[in-house]
Amino acid sequence: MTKRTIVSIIHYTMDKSFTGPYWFFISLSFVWCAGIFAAPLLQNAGMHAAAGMLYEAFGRVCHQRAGRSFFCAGQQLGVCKRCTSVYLSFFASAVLFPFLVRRKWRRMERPPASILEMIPSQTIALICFLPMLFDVGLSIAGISVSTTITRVVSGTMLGSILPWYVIPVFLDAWVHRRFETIKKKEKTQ
Amino acid sequence: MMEKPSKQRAVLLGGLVIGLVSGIPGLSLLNCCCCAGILIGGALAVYLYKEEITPEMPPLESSDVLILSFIAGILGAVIATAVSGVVSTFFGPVETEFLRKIMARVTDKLASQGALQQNSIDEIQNQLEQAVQEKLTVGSILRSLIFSLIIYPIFSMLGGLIGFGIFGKKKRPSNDYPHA
Repeated sequence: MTKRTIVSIIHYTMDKSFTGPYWFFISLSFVWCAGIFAAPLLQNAGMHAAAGMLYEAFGRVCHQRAGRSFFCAGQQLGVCKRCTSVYLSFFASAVLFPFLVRRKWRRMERPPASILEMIPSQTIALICFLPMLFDVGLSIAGISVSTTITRVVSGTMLGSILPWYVIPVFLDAWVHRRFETIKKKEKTQ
Repeated sequence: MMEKPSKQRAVLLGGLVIGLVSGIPGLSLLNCCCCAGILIGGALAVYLYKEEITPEMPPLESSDVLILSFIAGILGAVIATAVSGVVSTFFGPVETEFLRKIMARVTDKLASQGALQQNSIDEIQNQLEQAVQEKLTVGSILRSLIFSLIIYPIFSMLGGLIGFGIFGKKKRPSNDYPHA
């Protein structure tokens, strides 16, 4: 491993400039996923007002049709099966992201100059997006019927690839923003 | 080197798309697919801003994407609430009447099949009346705005980040990180 690789890894996996925004991102994602399960649990516990608020919030991002949703504690989850798959796989992939990035880094011949180089190609995004597009499109056209398996598989495929496009840009933006602030402070001093 | 262009136009157009897609009945169904309308609006704001940048200007940074899509999301939430408020005010009675007719037909059918008792039907109709009346109060509009102000910026930012991740440049113009 070259000196530059070590420096890069320290920058992105050990340094606070990386861990802070990463944990913020993970926390947000966790809260969102927890909310999906909290809605039915609160409803079952008789906390209808809190559950209603969560269902209303999730209602903005999902159709919430009972026939297309998973159930927990006898109540419908906050979002449908497809959305549940997308969000849960997104969270799982985001948790695994630093470990997989580290592995990818070690296999690279040349140390990356930026975390943005970790972003996969557009083809991979397309491959992971197409199953959902086909499933929804064919279902709307009445050619085939979308089942639980197709919804879960296509949702999981899309959800698990998205963090690879979102997290690097988010971390890069956060670190860059911080750098800009430091530069401005230095200028004023 | 020239300075970057103003973000106003891109933010306004992105916010407008988010607002219209989320506020107009029918079009808002697009958001049922993981907030696709909001994601597209966020990505559109980033795309429009990227188009304004000429080679003489500094390139589009990921931090620009974050800010741009976040503000577009906030603007979109305000526009969506305003649009749905206007739609409810002018077309509310039509929608309500339509809903009432459907519910009456469904409950009558269920009652004739013996699947529902009369008191259950009355309860459902009361709940529907309450829901319709709640929708038109100032409180419910404010509550809707608060929910939108939380969710729309997050998803708009996500859309911007995805757009930049897929179509943006994979390299930074400089390697100047805080601790480099």
